[in-house]
Amino acid sequence: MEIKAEVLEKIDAKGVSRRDFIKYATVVTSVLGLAPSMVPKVAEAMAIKKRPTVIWLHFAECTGCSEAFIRSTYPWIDQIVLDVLNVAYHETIMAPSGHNAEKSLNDAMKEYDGKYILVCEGGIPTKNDGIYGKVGGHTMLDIAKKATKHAMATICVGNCACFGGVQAAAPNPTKAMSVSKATGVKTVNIAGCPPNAVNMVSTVVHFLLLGKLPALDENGRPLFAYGYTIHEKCPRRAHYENGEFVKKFGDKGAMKGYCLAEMGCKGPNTYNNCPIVKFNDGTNWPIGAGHPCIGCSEPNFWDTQSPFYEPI
Amino acid sequence: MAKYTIDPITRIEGHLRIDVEIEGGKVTNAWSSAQLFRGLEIILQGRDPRDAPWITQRACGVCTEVHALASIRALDDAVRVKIPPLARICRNLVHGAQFLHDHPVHFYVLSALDWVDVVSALKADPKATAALAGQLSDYPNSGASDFKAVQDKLKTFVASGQLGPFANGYWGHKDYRLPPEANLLAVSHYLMLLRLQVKAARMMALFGGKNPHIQSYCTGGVTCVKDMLDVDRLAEFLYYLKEMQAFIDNVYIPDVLAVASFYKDWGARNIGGCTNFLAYGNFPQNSGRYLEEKMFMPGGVIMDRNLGKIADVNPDMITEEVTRAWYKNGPALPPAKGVTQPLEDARFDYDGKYSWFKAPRYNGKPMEVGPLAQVLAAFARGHKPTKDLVVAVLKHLNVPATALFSTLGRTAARAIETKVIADEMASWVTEAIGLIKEGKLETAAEWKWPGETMGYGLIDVPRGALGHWIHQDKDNKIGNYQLVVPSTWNLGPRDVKGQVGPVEEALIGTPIADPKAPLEIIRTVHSFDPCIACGVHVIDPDSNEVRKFKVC
Amino acid sequence: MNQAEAQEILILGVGNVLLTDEGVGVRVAHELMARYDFPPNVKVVDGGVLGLSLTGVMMEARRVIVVDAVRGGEAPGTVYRFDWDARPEHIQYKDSLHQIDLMETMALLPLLGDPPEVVVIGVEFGDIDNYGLELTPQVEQAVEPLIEQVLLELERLGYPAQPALQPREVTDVFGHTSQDH
Repeated sequence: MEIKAEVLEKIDAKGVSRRDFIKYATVVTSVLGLAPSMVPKVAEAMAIKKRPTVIWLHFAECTGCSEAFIRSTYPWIDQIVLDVLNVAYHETIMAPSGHNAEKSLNDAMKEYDGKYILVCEGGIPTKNDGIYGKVGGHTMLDIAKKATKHAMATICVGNCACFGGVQAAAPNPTKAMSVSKATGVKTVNIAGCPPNAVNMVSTVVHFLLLGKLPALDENGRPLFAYGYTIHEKCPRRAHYENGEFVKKFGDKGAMKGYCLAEMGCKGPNTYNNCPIVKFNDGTNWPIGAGHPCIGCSEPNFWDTQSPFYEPI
Repeated sequence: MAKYTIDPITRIEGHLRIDVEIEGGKVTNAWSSAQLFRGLEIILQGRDPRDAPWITQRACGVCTEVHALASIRALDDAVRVKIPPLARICRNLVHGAQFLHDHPVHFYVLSALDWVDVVSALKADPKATAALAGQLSDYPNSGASDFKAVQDKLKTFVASGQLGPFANGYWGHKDYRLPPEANLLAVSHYLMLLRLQVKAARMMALFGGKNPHIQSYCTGGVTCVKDMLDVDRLAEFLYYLKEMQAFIDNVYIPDVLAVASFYKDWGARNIGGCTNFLAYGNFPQNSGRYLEEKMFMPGGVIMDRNLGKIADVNPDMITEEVTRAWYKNGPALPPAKGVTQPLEDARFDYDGKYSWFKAPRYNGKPMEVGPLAQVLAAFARGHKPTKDLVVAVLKHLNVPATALFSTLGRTAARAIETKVIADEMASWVTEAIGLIKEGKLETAAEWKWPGETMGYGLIDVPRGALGHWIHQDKDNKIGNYQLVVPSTWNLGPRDVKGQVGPVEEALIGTPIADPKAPLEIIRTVHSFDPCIACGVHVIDPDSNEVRKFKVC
Repeated sequence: MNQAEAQEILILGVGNVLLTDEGVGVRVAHELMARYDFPPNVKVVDGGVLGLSLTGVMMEARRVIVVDAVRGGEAPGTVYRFDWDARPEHIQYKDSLHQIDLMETMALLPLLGDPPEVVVIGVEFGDIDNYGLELTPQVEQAVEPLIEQVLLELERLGYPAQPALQPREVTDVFGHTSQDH
């Protein structure tokens, strides 16, 4: 692979080790399903001069998606925040509170009007005009409507922003809903509860690289990550085919890594790349840890995929 | 009297609003208000109880795992199953790893910018910074060139004009007291920790399945038998643990002490201090119901800052009130018998109702929960590792024990508890190996649905005392589910007697140099490590169902 | 030797210290860290079971000296030295997950760029199947000869180590120091 000298120089100037950088570009390229020859292009996208602006908004959420995001290793979160993106507003990490924080948000929306990437984490409570969720005195509903209108693109991270999430589970006391439903705006949905860091970062890179959003399925999820089910790629599939099932947690079959279908696994219903990418840099994933998949990247999975321990 | 509203409070989990009255350069009154509800308890009703840990875990993704643990403990209790020792150790290892992730992230990512002036770091001399670092420890990558590299990175960043999360900070505030070199050192450590937390998370994922949101607990034990029996994963866990210990001993604790040394007056004047402390205990060393468990970190109840008198926790003493919250008034009631009727009108009324949080009370008193409560309880019980470390810290800073009742004390306690837990964890791995060698490989005990039953799970978690209560009906469905969570204890409102909640008590008396840049207030609020999504109250806006839940 | 042009050398002790003789490589690394001073271009690392995570630190070196337990068919405690690229056929895999990691790691290195030259200083293990924190007696007796082989290797490369004036305390993952043995 041939990465342009100027690109590598820009990377040096940002203090990023070339090896780290090339590794990252390779990982992201392969996750995106791009040909290895695209690696130089990905590298270039990451090295652009003026950092693209991201406004990250939190609604009815648990902050698990922000936490998942900072598990990224290629690039590292400090590289993302200092070198790659201009994270103009993110309540979990930003220095100011109160009026000063509001200023950051308003300034960014004004200066980068029509040019910022909006990342949404959390569902939107809408009952009684949305009084169940407020930030700085404004309802989340109002904030979402305004922010999506002025964004270049809106990326939803996590089941809550994508589909309504846990608060939208029956009987949905606050009439929580997805950002796209609440605002009418079409969003890219990085599904999961929380999603894999690699998928979140790859989507942003895809956008920076190609200037457009990745190909999406009918639920707005990028096909490069959500194009196939857990079951299709599951390393325990052979056991499934052989009729070797875990009957009780911790039994002999569990020790051998048998299929978890009888323990309630929702792998066949669930589109995500967990078996391949796994979590925390390939450390583990639920089925690997002996627990059935609960279908957390599917819309309304809290209702459609539960009870979690009843087989499909 | 001027009232000031700070909304949103950033660098926390969730949505919090703080109001204060300031007079004569000091906070004279304070109101803490949760700004989000989600209604998880209603959602839990009627569902399969075994789904509860996965639903409630989504109370919080910063304090991930903790609700899954409290929930599974409630389920174990409800069906009266005793978990096998290997499972107990597995849960302790995963839970311990959560502390090793959560607390350093809190200090550096969520609270450091309250004490560290990033702009001042630009003026530091890298050589002098290296000398300072060398005085504190011999942690690697702490030479002049390392600090220069960080400083250059910062300079490039600032020069870009896109200040991102550092924009509109309170840089140059009078009460930033650290010299430029200490600021540069702290910023370097912030960046180091941002990468290291990835490894703490991997540690959890080895047996937890993934982080955030683990998925390997089950009623009766854990599901990750293959991982627990994998000697390479046990070794990998130890390597990550060692790395975290090196950071805790050589970076985290020295940094906390360094900051504390500049703010001794906060300790001397008990700025940010509370009065009563509650800790449930942590890391069970045997299996049984809560009252039968012996905990590595012993819990207890301390009233009126009296460390000479510690009482056992009596769960029956826990009640909740709604007098100053947006619900119809009623008497104080225990969680399992709550009554809730939300109001249509959620107007902020300083003299009336002003929060979606209820006010938990223990024997009618507001209680601080969290690392300080946990450390004080262990100290008062004579828990040697905790006691030794507390004494060493007080000696190093040359301050009396009373300094602990402050924002500084709370911050130091968080670091102390992290080390105490980290230093013990390798012995749990040894214990696990011992069990494996003896062939005691059981990781999930058998259990039966007992018909209608009730159970509860109490445990200390990074933010404090956490309790889940479950009532299962005869159809093996959730009849009622309650959570009383740390942040509601700490950030809840006044009660009918007008007793302020802990953060409100802590804020009163805080000196404020500039109401427009409320840095001192933010410091104390952050010291409680708020998690508002956790403390959210359950409401049932449509029905007038007389049910009260506290659910995250 | 001109330090400015000095090759980066990595001494990498690998293995699982929980599995009796499997941890011998790590033990040797710790002994080296505790008792010797090395030229600035020489690094000693306890690679433990970290497998693929070691690619980064390996690729930074031009020469890597791996210390590990191996299966060669000789009596336990027998010391071997071989170039990885020319490893003798009778030296077999240890059949542990960790060993597979090392194999994978080695296979990946050429894909990442210009891989270092790797030499293995190994010892025939007695027991790698049972949990244990101590080496079996024959392997314990091989620790000093293994250390000598590593030092000899460094001399051959022109970057000799010197005994430290004061032995350092180096702790393993259980907090045992090299002085405990």
